[in-house]
Amino acid sequence: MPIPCAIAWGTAGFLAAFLLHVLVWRRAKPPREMMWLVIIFILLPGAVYLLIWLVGDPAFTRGGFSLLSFIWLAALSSAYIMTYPPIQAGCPSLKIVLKIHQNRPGGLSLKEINDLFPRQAMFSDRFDDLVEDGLVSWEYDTWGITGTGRLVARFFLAYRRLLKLPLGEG
Amino acid sequence: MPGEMTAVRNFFILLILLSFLIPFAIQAILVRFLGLYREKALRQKGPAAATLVGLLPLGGLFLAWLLVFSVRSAAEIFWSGFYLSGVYLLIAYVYFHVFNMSETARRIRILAQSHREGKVVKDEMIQDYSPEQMIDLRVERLEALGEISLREGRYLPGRMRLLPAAKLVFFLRRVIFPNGR
Repeated sequence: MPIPCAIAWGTAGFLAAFLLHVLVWRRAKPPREMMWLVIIFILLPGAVYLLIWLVGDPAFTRGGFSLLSFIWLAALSSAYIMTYPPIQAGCPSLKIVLKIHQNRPGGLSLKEINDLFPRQAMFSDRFDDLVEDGLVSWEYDTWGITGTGRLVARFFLAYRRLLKLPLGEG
Repeated sequence: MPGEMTAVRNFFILLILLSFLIPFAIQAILVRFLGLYREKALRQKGPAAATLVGLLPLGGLFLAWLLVFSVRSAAEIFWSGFYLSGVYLLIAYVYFHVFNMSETARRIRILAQSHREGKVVKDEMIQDYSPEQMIDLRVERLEALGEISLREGRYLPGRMRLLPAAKLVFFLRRVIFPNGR
């Protein structure tokens, strides 16, 4: 099986998608970022692979090459997509680790750690993200969860039930 | 033989797809049935432990694939093993984030709580979930994981295994959002 080539092509496809993502985001960050990440990193390369599979060189599909290459690309892309929320939201836990490291050897007091984060932004920014991602919406003079939001909530509640764990504290 | 080659490939792809389920299945056994990693401070170690333990069944399945299809070429064994373990570790990393989201993400907490209560009450949530409480929770978790340690009222670097991840995340943040969000 031509695995080294499948890995090389899959990695190249991922890097091309990453470059496109950076260029688009730097120009104008789209709303519903997660949806666009899935389009750029999974659906668009998937469509290219399908096209090559349908009309391209048979060597591309021989020995499962295209499928193995796409699985590799999809695995890399999924890993990046899951890393994106901390990148976008500036994960507080990672910020604490970084700031404590930068303030060696004295470290930080709890008050100094608290001062790293604007009070209002800690909750409101995340709430705004939910609105922007179409998971929560303002209807009939009140906030409500959208169909997609309900689906996400059900998924995580069911997942925690399967592990027999209470819901995380956020 | 082309038919035999197809079977070798198809079962290898089946093996890859099976590997996607291993981290969750092992964590379910560890947490639900063996009662391990249930305490709040230890929960985030669960997916990492499941990934490591999962290498055993994955290795077993890979060995079975090699034996059943009499794969003998050293290069093929090496590259198949490399590919399979690479995909497995990437998927395990994705799974770690899924678990982490269910454990620590503010967005998931807001959604799940709102879904349970049948309404979204933003102001009440802000009151229930103060910024200080959010920071305390995170500091507690980092201390329990040994990432930071408290000495004479000041938090100091601990094992700092999360430091490379923190540097990478904030580097990518600067690349993607050069002017802030």
